[in-house]
Amino acid sequence: MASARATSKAVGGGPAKRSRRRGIAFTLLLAGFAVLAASALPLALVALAGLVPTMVAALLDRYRAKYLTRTVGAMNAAGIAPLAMQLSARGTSMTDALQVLSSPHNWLMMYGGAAIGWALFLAMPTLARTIVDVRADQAQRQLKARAAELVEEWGEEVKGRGAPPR
Amino acid sequence: MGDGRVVTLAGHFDIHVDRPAAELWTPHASAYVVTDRETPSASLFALICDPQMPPRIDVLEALRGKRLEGMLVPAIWGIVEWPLAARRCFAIVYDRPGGGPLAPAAGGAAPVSEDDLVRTVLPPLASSLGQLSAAGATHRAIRADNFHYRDSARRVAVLGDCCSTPPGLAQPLLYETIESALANPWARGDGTAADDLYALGVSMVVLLLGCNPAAELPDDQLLLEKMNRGSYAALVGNERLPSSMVEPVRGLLTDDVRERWTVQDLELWLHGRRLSPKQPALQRRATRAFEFNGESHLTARTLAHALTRKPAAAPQALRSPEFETWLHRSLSDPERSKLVGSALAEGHDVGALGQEEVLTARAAIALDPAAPLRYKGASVAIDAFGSALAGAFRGHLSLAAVAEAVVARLPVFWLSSQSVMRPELVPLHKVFERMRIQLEDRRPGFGPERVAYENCRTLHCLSPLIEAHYVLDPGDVLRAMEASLEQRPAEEPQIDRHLAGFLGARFKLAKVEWLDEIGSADPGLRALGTLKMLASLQSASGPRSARHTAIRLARQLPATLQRFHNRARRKTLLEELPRLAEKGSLTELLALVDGAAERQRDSLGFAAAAREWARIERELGHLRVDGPRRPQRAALLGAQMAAGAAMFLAWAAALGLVVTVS
Repeated sequence: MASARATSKAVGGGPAKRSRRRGIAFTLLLAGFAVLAASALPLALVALAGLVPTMVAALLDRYRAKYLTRTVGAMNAAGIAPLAMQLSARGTSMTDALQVLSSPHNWLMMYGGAAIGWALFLAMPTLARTIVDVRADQAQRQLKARAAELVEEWGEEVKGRGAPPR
Repeated sequence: MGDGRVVTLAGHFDIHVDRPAAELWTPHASAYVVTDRETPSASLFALICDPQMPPRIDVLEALRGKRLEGMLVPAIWGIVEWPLAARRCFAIVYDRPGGGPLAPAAGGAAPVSEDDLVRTVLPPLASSLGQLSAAGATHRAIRADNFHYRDSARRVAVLGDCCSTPPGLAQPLLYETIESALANPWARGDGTAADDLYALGVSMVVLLLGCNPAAELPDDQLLLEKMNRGSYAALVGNERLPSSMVEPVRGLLTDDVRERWTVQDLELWLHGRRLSPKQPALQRRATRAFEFNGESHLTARTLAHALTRKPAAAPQALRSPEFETWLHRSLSDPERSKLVGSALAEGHDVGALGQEEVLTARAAIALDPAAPLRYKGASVAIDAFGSALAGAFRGHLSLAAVAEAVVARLPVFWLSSQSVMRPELVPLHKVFERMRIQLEDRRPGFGPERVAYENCRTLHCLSPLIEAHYVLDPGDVLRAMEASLEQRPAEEPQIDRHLAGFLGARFKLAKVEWLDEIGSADPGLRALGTLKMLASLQSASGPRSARHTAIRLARQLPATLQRFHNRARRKTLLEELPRLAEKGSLTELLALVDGAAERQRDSLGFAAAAREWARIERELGHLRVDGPRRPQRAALLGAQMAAGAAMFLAWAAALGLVVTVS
């Protein structure tokens, strides 16, 4: 898996440009989170607690395109979204935030989403391997069948190692 | 008399197979009575030539339409199906002389009187020889037993046939000049009018005496006598000739061709001119004899003859100081010495040929330039190499010796050794160079066979399959082959070295590529070359259907179809072969197996298939190489799929939530 990650492709530009982009994205993320904390601290607190799996995934992700982060993050965000809406609807007090965080059901929803994302990430390569193998076998079979047809139609010399044409 | 079988020549000359004319038989041809349906009163006979002997068609052409008082003139000639030999033979039809022979070959004839000779034999003969010489031909069959009386009253004598054998072949050694007598009978050559006049001189002696004066002498001894004593002394010796006949006989038997009587001399003598008889000019004699192989030689000619008869001892003698001393001091012939020096010093670049034999042959030429070319037992006149090869193929000479003589450039040395070059010899330089190149080429269609058919235009094709059909014209090859194959069910049509040489020499449309294919070791290519040649013959001269040839050739052609790559096309063509062969059209058969469009289609298709094969190979190679990398690619693809699926699910959930709330 590590080598697979190492060989995964980056999107756009050279290493310096990519690093700069990542820095900008991280800065924007921090700025966004700071704005969120300043405007709705309880919501930011819930988000911070709920997005821990995504942060862990981001730390472990070796893909340049950050597939693990994207997968876990998307499902994690989907788990947090109902709670964030619930909290917004109730009002954004710290009490409400603590109430949300004190419910195991809510933790299950946030972290369960992340777990589904993680499971998806772990399961998909096996499926992909099956698809790649099937496609390769199919191509090989078709090529060999065509090669056999050519030999039947033109003889062994079509391979270029038979008797030269007289 | 018999059952009246006839063989017809040229549509109206009926040759009566059961009515032989025994008195007109020659050593190599049998005579039969002929009736001309258009002129039934004409008295004719036909000579059926020995199929081994190439006839002299050039002389027949030269005699065509001539009115020669002293010579039989052919009325017609051609090839006939001869039942007595169960094969085709060459036949020549002449006016039949009615008075019988002057001197039967069996002997026992009374001497011809001087008066008869001068009145009935010589005048018409001299005139006819003059006309023959003017037509550029020679007789080369003048001998006592070849004279006949034209009429039953025996008033005019005529000379018999001279066209049924190669020149001089039927002549006993007695009648030949020393030079011609030294040559193998198959290789005496056309010679010149001087050879005919010499033979006439000998014939006069035999007719006047009523016998052969040298009958007791073996040929070798007679030849030596002629060389040592001169022909006149050797033949006439102590015999008594009528005194008035001594002058013409001496004149005609002079061994030096420059001093021999010509036709004009003879005619002047017949008209009354009388001169003192010439003393024969003998060859230059050495002051001291040269000893070789236990014999003493006083002349260069006898020494050259002895050297060629004992070639093993010759090189040592030629290199000995005694020979050099004899040549320079005893023979004292500076021109001869120079020529011998050149013969011994040069001519070593003969490759694998025997250096010693070539040296001996060159020395013999230098010692006796007028003699024929003598090499390894073959003795050939300079204008008789074609005829010599024809004889060699019949086993009368060594084929290797004749061919090697040309390859060793002996004829070129012979030509350069002549002090006086006859005009007709000038083009021979080129002829021999061409011969040498062809003899060195061992491919079918070249070699000695090609040289024989090119230089002996009357030699029929000796290929065993069609030999009995006496094919002289390439246009008849296919007909002959068809007839042979019809009679021989087990035989396969093939172009052997003889047929290839024959077609190479005489079929102008024959291509060298076809001959090369015929000589190929690949049976398919060989069959294709054969088909190309025979198809070309068919389209040039027919016959329209050659069914037997086509059917049997079609059996060899499946190997040819291997040239097509496409298996389905091969199968189709293979199925088509027997159908076309039944039609007997070789040209259609060739179009089927070697059609340009079909071959191009096959070739283009094959090239495309080969490219496609190469592409498949590459792609399979890529797949093989890609195998170990596949898990990595699958992992990446899985990650991408997982990210995609998660994003999709998240958006779907978000959308659902929004819808629920609203």
